[in-house]
Parts: sequence; C-alpha cells; structure tokens
Amino acid sequence: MSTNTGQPPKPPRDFVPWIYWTLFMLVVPVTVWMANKPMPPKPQVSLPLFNHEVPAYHIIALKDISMRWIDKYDVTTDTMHTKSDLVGHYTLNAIHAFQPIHASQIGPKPDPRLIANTLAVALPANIATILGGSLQAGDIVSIAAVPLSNTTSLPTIIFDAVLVLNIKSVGSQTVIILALPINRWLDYLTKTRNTMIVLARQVG
Amino acid sequence: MFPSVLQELRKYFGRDFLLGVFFPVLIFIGTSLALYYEITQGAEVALATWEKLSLQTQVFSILAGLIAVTVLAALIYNFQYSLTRLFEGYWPRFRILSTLRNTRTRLYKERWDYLEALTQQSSTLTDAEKNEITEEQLIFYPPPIHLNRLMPTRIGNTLLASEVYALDRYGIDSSIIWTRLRPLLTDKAVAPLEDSRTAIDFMLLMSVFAATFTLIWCPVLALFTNQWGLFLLCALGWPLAWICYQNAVQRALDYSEQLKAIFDLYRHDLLKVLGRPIPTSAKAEHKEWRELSDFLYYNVPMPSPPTAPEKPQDWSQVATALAELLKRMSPPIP
Repeated sequence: MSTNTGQPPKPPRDFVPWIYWTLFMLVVPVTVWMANKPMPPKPQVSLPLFNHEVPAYHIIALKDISMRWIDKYDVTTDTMHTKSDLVGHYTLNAIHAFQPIHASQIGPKPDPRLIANTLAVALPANIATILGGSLQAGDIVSIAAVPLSNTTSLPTIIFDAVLVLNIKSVGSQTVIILALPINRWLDYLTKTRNTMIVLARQVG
Repeated sequence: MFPSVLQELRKYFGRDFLLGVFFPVLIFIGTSLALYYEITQGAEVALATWEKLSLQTQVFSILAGLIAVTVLAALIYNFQYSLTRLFEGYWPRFRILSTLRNTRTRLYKERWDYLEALTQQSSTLTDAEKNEITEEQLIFYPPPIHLNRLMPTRIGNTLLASEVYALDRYGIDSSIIWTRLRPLLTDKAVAPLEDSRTAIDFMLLMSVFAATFTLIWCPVLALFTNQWGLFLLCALGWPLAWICYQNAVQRALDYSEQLKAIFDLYRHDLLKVLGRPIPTSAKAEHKEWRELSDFLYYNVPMPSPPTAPEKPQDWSQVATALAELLKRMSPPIP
C-alpha cells in the first residue's frame, strides 16, 4: 500500500441535495408572503336571517327577518333563500339570530286560525297514534277521548280540527306536538283524564 | 367493516400489495381529498354536510372510495417494478435524462475514486477510519471490476452490488437464474427478502407521493389561499420524500445482503432440480452457470452432464451371477 502524504483529496460536490433543499427553503419566503398577502373577499350571498332569536313554533312575520350577506361556503343545499319561503310559516325549533335558516327548521304554512292563541302540547305517541308514520307536521287532526275504565261512558270528540305542530322522536320515545286552543286547555285536560286519546285525520 | 375489507384485500392481493401500494395510495388520496374540501368549503362545512347524509349514502360513499383506491392501487402495483427501476437509474433514453445519468454516474465514480484515494492517505487516517471507508465502498458501490456499470443513484448502486455478487462469485447471472431459483425456496428462506422488497416498494412509493403531494398542493395553497399554516404542513411532504428515499436505501442494504445469502446457500438446489452435476471447483462452477444461463436465455445447447462411472462389482457378485446363468442354460437331469 502506498503512503501518499500529500494534500488530502477533495470530495466531489453533489449539487442535487443542494438544489433539493434550496427548493425546500423557498417555503420560508412563500410563507411570509402568504401571511401578508391581501385576499379577495370570500364570495357572499344574500339570505333572509332572523333579526333576533326565535323560539320553536313561532309564526314568522316579515319584521322578524331581514336580508343579510353571509359567506357562500356557509350555504348548504337546504338553506332558505327568500323571505317568501319563510313568512307565514312557523319554526320547528329555536333558531339563533343571523344564522342561515334551513328547510328542516321550518314547518309548513298553517291556517292562522289553528295556530293563533294556542298552546304547544306534547302527547306520547305510538305507531298507531301517528297513523303508521304518515302523520306529519302541518296536518290537521281531530282528537277523541275513549274512556279506559268506565265502559258506560261514551267516547267524546274533544276537538274537530287541531294543528299538528311537529312529530319528534327522542330516543325510542315519539311525541306529537299539537297546537291546542288556550281557552279550551282546561276542558281538554278534564276530558282526557283516564282516557285513551285517538287522533284521526280527514282523508281526501 | 374496514378490517374485514382489509382482510379480503390481503387474501386477494397479498401483503406486498397492501403495504407496498394500497396504503400509500390510501394516504395520498385521503389527505388530498381532505385538503381539497378544506380549501373549497372548509372542513367544518364538509363534515356537517357529511353528517347530514343518510347512513346508506355514507356507507355507499365509503365503499365506492375504497373500490376506487383499490383499482388505482392495482394499476400502480403493475408499475411498481418500473418505478423501482426509475429510482435505480434505468431512465428513458431522452437527451436530458442521458446527460443527467452520465453526470450522476461520473459523480459516483469520482466519489469512489475519492474514497479510494482517502484510503491511500495512510498517514492521516486511522485503521478504523480506513475500515469505514472500505465498508462504504463495499456496501454502496459495486466491486471495482464493475465500476464501468455504475448507476446514477445510490439505491441503484446498492442493488447493483447485490446483482453482481452472484456473477462474481459463481458466474450466476442473477436476472436469469433468480426466476428459476425462486420457486425452489422455502417461505422461511424467502420471507426476509420479500419483507425487505415490500419495505423498499413502500418507501419509494411514499417518497413519490409525498413529493407529488407537496408539488401539487403547496402552489395551490400559495396561490388561492392565505392558509400559511396548512402550506407549511403540506411543505413537510418534501423532507418526508427525502426521508422515505433514505429509508429505501437502508432497506436496500438489507435486501442486498439477503439476496447474496440466498445465492450462497441455495444455488445448488437449482442445479439438482435441473439434473446438473454439482461443480467441485470454483472454475467449474463458473463454467456450469455460464452454460446454464446461455442455454436458458439464448438457447445455446448445453453439454450433457458427464455420466457417472458404473459401480465396480466384487468377485462374489460376479460368481453368483455366472452360476445363475449356467443353471438356467443347463437342462435339469431327469
């Protein structure tokens, strides 16, 4: 083996790693530029929003809503776009102010006589009470009471026409929410004591 | 559901498909989709929209996505060999690539010469340092007589070192012989080799996907958003690609050693199966494998194996056979 004691050889220079990591270092100036660059405003759409928080089963009036600009990305397929789709309808649950309103939060347009001066009353329901699942919010039903213990008493029709506000399922329990006239609330409680309540909807 | 789908995939395609291709594709597609939804509508809105879908739609979407990923992975799986070849340095014959290949090959040659010159500097290096340099030459470069075949990448040279090992030692052309030897190997013998191969495939594909991910999404994020945090996160794909490549090189070292060991230990099994004699000297072994390779690849006729000399029989056996013959020839006395 030779004993070369001259200058140590120089390693050849490989530029590929330099190029590779220089490209990576570009991240720093680009990040700084991105952090400071002005962005065009996000695309917006004009939507009817509530001016104030509204409770469930509130009849929507024109004064409750106003058109406001919100981010287009906050709009989903069931977002309500016009005031006319809302006015006269009622809310199915409480809705916050200035939030997009979704179709699933709004009930149908009811007969004003059936919803004015009413109380929202919940009835426990089963598959028969909800007419096998065909009963839905906005339907008009009549309510009858059939005595459970006293077989001599005759069934009574308590209401001819009551608005079904909503049908909700909480866990395994289903409830029907009805709009009952305030002035007949006590009468309803009296007549439905110890009775089975039967709902009936007019066919056709 | 997902584990059972994976189990099915594994049954049909094998471990190398799942680890080597399916998961890299799944990671790439999954992160790209997540990023796309974050940029176009925001992750929260996308998640809220997803939650509003019916269970059937969600299940159908997941299944459709898995099928799409599987099909894409199967397509890429067939190109895995070409991808590895690209990383090894077998590039298409375009002028720019040829220039790059020559430059890189020259660089590796210079690097080898530099290491060789260093070992000559006996006064400045300790024995341990010299051993390290020699080890580097042995591991990352083909033997000196094959320096004219240097590849333009480190992984290419590492794998080349394993390919020429059998040729140098035994005269075996591994590219021809391997496909004949492989079916004779037991699972136990071949498992470590296939593990290394799968790991190399996985790391190389991850390297490609990580770099591609950065090259696609960083410009998109920089041009159309000001989400610099997300940009930095995506830029990490660049160093990740480098780390994956280095990992592949490390696994190629394992692969290289295991391949050498298989030729050392099992090469005679192939000769036995082919009815060839086991050579008794290194020279005869070189000749035998060269003739076998020529026969398999170019259909050059092989000389017949020398027939074994008949076993000499002792005099008692000869006498017995003769007595039997005489007995049959002479009729019985009435």
